[in-house]
Amino acid sequence: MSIARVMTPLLLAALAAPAVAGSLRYAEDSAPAIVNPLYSTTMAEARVNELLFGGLYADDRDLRATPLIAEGATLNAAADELRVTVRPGLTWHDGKPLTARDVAFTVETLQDPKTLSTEAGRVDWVQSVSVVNDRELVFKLKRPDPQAIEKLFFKILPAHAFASRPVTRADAFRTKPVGSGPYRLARFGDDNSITFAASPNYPKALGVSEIVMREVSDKSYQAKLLLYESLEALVRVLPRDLAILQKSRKVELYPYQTNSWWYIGFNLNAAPFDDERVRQALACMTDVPSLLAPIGTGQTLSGPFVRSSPYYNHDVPPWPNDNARATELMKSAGFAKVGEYWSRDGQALTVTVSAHKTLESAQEVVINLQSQWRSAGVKVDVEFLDEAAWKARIWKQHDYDVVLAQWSFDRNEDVREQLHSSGARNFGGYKNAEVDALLDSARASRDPAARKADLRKVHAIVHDDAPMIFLWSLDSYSAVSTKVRDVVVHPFAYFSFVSDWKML
Amino acid sequence: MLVFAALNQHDKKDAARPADTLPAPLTIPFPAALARAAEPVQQRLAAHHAARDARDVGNLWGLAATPLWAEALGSGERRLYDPFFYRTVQLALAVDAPAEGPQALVFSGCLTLQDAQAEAQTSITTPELGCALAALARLGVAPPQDVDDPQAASDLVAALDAALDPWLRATLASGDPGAVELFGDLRLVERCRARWLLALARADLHADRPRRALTFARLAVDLSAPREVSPVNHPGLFGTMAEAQARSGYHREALDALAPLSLHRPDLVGLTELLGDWAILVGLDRHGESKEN
Repeated sequence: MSIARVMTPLLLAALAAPAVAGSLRYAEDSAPAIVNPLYSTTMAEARVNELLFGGLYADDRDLRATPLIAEGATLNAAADELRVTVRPGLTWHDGKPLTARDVAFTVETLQDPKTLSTEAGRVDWVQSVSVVNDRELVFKLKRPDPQAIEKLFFKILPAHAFASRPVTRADAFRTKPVGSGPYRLARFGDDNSITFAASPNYPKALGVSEIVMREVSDKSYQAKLLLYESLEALVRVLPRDLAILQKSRKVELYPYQTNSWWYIGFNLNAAPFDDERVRQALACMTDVPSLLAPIGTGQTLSGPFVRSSPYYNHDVPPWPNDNARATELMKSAGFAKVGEYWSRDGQALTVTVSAHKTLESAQEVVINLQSQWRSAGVKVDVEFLDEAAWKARIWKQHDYDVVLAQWSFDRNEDVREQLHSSGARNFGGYKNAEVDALLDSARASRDPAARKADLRKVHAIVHDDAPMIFLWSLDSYSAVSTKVRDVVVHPFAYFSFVSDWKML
Repeated sequence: MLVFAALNQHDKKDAARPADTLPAPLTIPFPAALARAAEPVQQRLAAHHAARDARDVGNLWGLAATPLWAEALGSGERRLYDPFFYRTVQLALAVDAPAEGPQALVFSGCLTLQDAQAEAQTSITTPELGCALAALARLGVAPPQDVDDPQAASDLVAALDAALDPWLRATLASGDPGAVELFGDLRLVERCRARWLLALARADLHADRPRRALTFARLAVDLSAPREVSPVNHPGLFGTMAEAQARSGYHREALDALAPLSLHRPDLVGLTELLGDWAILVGLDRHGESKEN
């Protein structure tokens, strides 16, 4: 069969899109739903934020904190007051000056309880912030912190772009963002693409004049587009495409692990998933290696960390695929087999599995999961949600049974937001007082051994409680055309060093 | 970084030096336990050097059956056999092999007999091992400059691939069953390529160029099984990558590089814990970030 015959119209359209000289086109499975660092919840949004916005501090190429918008920062002797000086001469993409007032506005907006920012935790160490003048401001800290500078990575927003506070998710800024990063938003395309142009106000000459984010929801086409030179970068390569791309001399592959893991998450606010025996039974009905095999190489997991993590508890094995044990657990939870299905109070157990439309390979996994659970006596419906429905149904309304999803973490692998009862990303409603205490203790600890001990206990408890069935981490690589030079990929934010990249 | 060095140690050249210089201090110390070995290690090393000098491994065959070190472990016994034995056999046989034909090349990173002989004279303290520079020169690829520039490493690998690819394609297209078996099935060219890149990476680490070392190591990994030790993915490759990452600020990522080795090297647990503590300390004051997908 010829390649042309199997191409979708989407692929043909993408191929037809001409390359602009100096333009770097990269593929995302799904276009960002929002361009506003206050509300970013996906990796695609985080990558776009990295192009558009800057923080007071940022990682240098050796991942050390280095001033970006800040010229410098000094901590008082008591380590409870941080004085920050803003670099002179910085401007926003619209030409207006970037001042200390913008920094204060950002902190206060993040902290405003009516803003409901998903990133509020990034400034939870700040008691108050006061502007001294256009270039100076003072952070009062809630408690002494000799390393407070390390927390100045949050993205700074332009106060003048917002009419007032609180800033809502629906604010017009989401479609007309103004930042201070190396690129400015040039336009949204009809095909969900976003074009970013090099900012003339950025204080460094850029080697890539334009970056275009292309939405290519069918991941199996992304590698082809790269090989046909209709893209210059793939953020994440499917594991099965790795060997093919490695053989091509037109691309170079970069590890982009982001400490990511897949999971099946239960809605603990809804029966029968509020019963841990049911969750554990479903875990025992799941043959994880068989789900993983068709989508690539990776490592199965027993808890909320990847296997190479210092926090991974290697003493905890994954749930076994054990139907006898599942039967025992279902019976103890009051279920009985009626015909081929588990039933309680005359109702057959029916589970709807929700997955994000663009989660790579999710369809294969969900269909296999449906087959596994059905054969174990559970009726399974499947739904694939677009970004808006996902945010509304899963995050906001908690209107679901079970999700198939993936979390990505930076090198700190802080799972507090996902597992603490007050966590902003704990939409499943998991609550365990011991886990809360351990997570708080881990965050407060200055001793790596103590932090490891706390989080390894968390791993063990969460495994037993089974608010999620932990699935796997995939071998994750990014592919970039060899036409792009001096590429260094940040291990989480991807584009942090894009101002050094150059196009041939 | 003794353990990283130890990971690479078994592939380092303890090549022929004049017998009168023995015993000489080693750059990489042997584990202290070896000092208690039943047979003095220096004596075994002398046997190696003698075998390489004489190109005769006859004496070594007999010695190889005796463990260098044995200790009681539970109800059994743990034995450490001579880790350099096959390397010496390889070197001794390589210099006796004909200069032409596959026998001169197989299982060696050297492209010619002369390169192998020059390699055999290399000091044990020199990290540029694996015939990398000799191979680059013969393939018309310029050696790298003394700058820690990852792009320079990418460019060198691109030039190397540009030299190797057409030759490999033509060889496989020739239909010679021996060539297909050696280069297609056994992947000898990929193995050599990986070995050269690993040698370059080690040399860069030795010269304090960790970023470029990391690029060479990254480009050497066979991504058809990126987490597995294999004929292409030498264990030293993962150790080198981990050291390069740790030395260029990527401590957490170094743990990823070490992971494939932990299955085979239980003794790495201590190093992994230590590196994990280091990674935690580096990020202790940062706010952790997480996103979906």
